[in-house]
Amino acid sequence: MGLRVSRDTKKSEMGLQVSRSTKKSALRRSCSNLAAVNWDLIEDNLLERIAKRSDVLDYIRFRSVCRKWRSISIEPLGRLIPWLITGCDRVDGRLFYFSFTDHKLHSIAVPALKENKSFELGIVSCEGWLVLEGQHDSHAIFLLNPLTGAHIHLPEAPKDLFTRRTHPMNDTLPNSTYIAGELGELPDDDSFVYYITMPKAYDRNPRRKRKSASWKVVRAGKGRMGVSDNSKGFVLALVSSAFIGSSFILKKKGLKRAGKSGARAADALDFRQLVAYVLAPAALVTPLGALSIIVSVVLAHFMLQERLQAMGILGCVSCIVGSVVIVIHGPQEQSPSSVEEIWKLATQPAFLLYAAATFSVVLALVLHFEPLYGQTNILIYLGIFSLIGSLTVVSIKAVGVAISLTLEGISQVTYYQTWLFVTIALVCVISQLNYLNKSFAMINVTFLGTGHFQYTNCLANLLCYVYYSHNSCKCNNVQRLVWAKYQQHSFRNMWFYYSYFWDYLIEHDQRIRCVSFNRFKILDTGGLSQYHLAPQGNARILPAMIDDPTTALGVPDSNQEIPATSEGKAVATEEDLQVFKLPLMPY
Amino acid sequence: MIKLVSGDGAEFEVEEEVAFQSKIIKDIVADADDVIPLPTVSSKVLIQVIEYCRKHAAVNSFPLSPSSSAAAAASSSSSISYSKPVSDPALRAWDNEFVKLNNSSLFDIVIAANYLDIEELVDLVLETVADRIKGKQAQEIRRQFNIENDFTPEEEEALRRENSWAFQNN
Repeated sequence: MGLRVSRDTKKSEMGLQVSRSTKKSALRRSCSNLAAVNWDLIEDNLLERIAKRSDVLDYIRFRSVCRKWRSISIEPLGRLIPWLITGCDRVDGRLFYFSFTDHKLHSIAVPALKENKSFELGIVSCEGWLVLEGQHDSHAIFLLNPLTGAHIHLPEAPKDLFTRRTHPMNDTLPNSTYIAGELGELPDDDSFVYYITMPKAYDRNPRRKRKSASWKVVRAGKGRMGVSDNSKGFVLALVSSAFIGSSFILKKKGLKRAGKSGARAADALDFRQLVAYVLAPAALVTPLGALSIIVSVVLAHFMLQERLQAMGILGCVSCIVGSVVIVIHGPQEQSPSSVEEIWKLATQPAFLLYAAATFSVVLALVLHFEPLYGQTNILIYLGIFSLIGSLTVVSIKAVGVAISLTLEGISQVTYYQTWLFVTIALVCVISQLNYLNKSFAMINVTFLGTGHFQYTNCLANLLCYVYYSHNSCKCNNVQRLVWAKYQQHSFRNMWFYYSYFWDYLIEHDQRIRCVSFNRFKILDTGGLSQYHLAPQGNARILPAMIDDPTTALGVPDSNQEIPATSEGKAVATEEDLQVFKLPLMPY
Repeated sequence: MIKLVSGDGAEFEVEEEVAFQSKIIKDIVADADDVIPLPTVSSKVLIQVIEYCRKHAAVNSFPLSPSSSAAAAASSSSSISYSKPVSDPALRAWDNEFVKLNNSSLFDIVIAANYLDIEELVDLVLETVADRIKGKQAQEIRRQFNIENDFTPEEEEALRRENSWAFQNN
């Protein structure tokens, strides 16, 4: 067996030699047949796993081999073997890095480094972007992607952002749009995370969207969206409930006075509630609409002399209880931050199915049932009204997000989705108004209010769950983010900067420090030019390198990544670690 | 003993712990009559795979040391799964010898190992292939693995422009 294997190897090596030395295609084909790989049989996930084992340089070459290889390796560079950035030359605008795969020092020309001398090369990086910080007291942040040369000036951060500016950390949320800034306080219940919204479009065209980032504050403890937005939405929802309730009464009064002469009451869907939808999560606003029932029931009792029966009261109470339960246990959703994102959510199969079903039911009601029973059964009009209403909520939400983003400077006008949502919203609102007015003429307000509420809001809530369900994990990520920051060292990035070690060593005066990337631990032995790289899970510290293993294991995330033995001694041999002596740094 | 039947009809009798290196076989053996047909695996490849499993079964049958089981637990709990490094130096040397094959055999093995769900072997082979790709220009990779360049000249030019530094030999 062993013999055969070695013969095979020799043969293949020879084959490759020949094919390299000759240019004749016939000969090459016969030679490469020897080592022909049937690519049709290779599953994509195997290829993908090969791609993930490469470093940046290899990855880029991997992607330029053929279409198939390019197509399977679309994952961003974040999970590759890291490069160690060893320094930069600001005069010539060059960045030096050490590649752990070919053990050489490389350099890339990055003209942006030369042009933005007032920014220091930061300590952190994120998904291939380097974070540069303004010098001295400046809070400016500059992002640079050295591979593509793309760069972005972020707006000035809030002044209190860098109160604990020892090691600004960052992390990205999966699928996302954020680069986190610095943590103001340590993660207890009252701490805040600052993050900056980063539309994905940055990757594609950084120049066009330069203005579009803005700083936001997230409450870390609860993981909810910005407090101010939520409470604004809450107040608006309350106010609008009162207005809706009273407007029912007024409309009914107006209709009574005008008889059935065709006078149409106007603002059926209260504008304030629409604004509330814009500012707060829909699942929070919609149940609060329950309050409008109370208002209208009470007012109807006094102003219109429409008496409520015991069962009616019971119904109202259960409505309110239900809404409270929903508000308390509602999904911790985060408002979508761009129209594109809403569009993505809206084109999920579940939602499309729902929309199609709604549409067909509405059509059936309008075309078939309305002529037959429209004048006798209130449920027809209410059904149409409420079914459409559920779609209104979503499209209004989208329009609202578009408006607020545009006001913040991120123009959404160019997206066709925006206009599509505007159209849908208009159509829905107009047809809702139409059917609401028709039904007004028919029955008493208490019933209408309650009925309308139950229909629309049940549907809207159902919709929110469908619509946001996969979105609801985001806030947990914010918490995870805080936690990751607390760990201080859990980079998930491919870049990091040499000066990190400088800072750290000076600060702590320790001989050994570890920094981990997604699957590598990089141990600095204190010589400042010697690094040990070991796959995670196998990262050990040589007994000779350190006297007391626990101090090295005391790095916050180490208990997770360095398997400490029960004796407290690191067990490893030289072979477990790859040792790289780095060339002398350029400065 | 478990009987494995390759695609070309050859039968191989192996011990349970050897065959159980494959998770798939481990799963199906519970309710089968111990003859397992593997129609997509040729004898030549199966011989190599069994050789690998035999070696690893022998080594793995020793009780795991606490540190390595802790490492295994740590690596399995992380969200990204990475190869669990083989800790025994002798076994690693043997592995390195084992993968000294031409590309075609290597890919045959990885397909079979993937099919049989022998995670360690898949990792080993993929690591080897990744090593063979490392530091090579796209042109070389294509030649080595017999891949047709299906980019149009314009696309190729765009690729080169985008990351020109990656294509320099330095």
